[in-house]
Amino acid sequence: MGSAKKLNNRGYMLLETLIVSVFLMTIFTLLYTNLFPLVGEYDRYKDYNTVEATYIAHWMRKFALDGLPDNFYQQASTQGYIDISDCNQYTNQNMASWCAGFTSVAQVKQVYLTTYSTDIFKNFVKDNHAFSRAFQEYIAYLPSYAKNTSKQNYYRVIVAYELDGRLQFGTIELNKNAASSIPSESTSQINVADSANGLLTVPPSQASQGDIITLEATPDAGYQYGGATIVDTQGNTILTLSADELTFEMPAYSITIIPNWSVIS
Amino acid sequence: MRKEKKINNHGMTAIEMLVSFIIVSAIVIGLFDVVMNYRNKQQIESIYNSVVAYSNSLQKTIQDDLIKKHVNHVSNVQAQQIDFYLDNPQETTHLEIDCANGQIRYGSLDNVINYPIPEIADLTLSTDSKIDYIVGNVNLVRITIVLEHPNLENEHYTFQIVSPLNFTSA
Repeated sequence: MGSAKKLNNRGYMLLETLIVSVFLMTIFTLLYTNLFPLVGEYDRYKDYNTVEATYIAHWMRKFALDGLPDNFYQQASTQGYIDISDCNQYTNQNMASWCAGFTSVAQVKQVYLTTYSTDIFKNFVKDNHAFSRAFQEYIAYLPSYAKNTSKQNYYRVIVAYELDGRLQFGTIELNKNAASSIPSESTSQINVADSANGLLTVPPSQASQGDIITLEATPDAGYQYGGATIVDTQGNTILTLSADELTFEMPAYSITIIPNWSVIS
Repeated sequence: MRKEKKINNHGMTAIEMLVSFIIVSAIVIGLFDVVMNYRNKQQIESIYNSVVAYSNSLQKTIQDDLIKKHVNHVSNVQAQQIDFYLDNPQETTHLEIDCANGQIRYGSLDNVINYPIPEIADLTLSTDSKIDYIVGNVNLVRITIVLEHPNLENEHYTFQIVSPLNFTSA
């Protein structure tokens, strides 16, 4: 009769250790491979929609509202997006200069005007090698905003700018129904300092930058107009008028005029 | 008669224990390294979040004044200080980058407020921070603030405020 082979415990501890090790390594590998992309995404999101980016998008929106002709908005509505990075397109008012100056200083690289829903633009940018990978990733990250159908005549401004060698991105909605909140002309106050020996009047009491201001001098008996000193609100001398000058060009800020009266010799 | 002690096969061999110990040690060392990396990353993110919160607060304070109150012009422009003339209401605000004391000072002339940088070891306000007054067809101001810390990416964090001066649509 054959005898049953007796099992022993040799090798079981090693086998158990190996099984547990494989189990643990599998779990940690799964966790690592799923967490690692999230960490990478979180690092990328630091460059998206920052406070700074929002303010830059705010200014580009102002330039677009005041400077872009209506056909640009029609084109954006029709095809879903339009590239408005070129400041020469801002032909209304003097927005081309503001746009050129601002984009140069803030290092704005790309500006797009899209419909409020970004679906069409997202499809255009996706897999389009004309765009950088960073820009494609940002556009892919943006929500589509497609569910909000109440925003009539609303658009989006999307900006990409460079800071410290990295591209940063921001977006802001644009309400074409709203007028620009900036007044078409900004006026500053004109004050006249009290003085003895004469009266100096300046109509009007407010003026815009570049306006020509004419002084009306009424000296007292025995005195004549001897010119005037123009100072800003801090008392800094801006301009000195001679006795022959009664006009000057208004600066961009409030001023005070200090008349000089000289004795008639 | 002597009884022979029967030797059984229970227990484990020394080789088994040694190999098992080596395997477990290798796993623990590997995981320890990963955990320490994430712990370092968490500390770096904590510094980054503090710096970003400071930058956001400062940007909002200054930008709100420049935009909503309409900055008209500037004066007293130096590399690290400037005065803004605001229109609505009319007032003058002063901005100063005080690198020596690690703070930004901003506010109306009679009420300048100190905004110290976050109290984090080795975090400093860099002397690369500066104010640029750009004059051309249009005038603009650019304020660049640089915070330095060895654990930040590129060892510094930069933010800037760019604002047109006396922006009008004419």
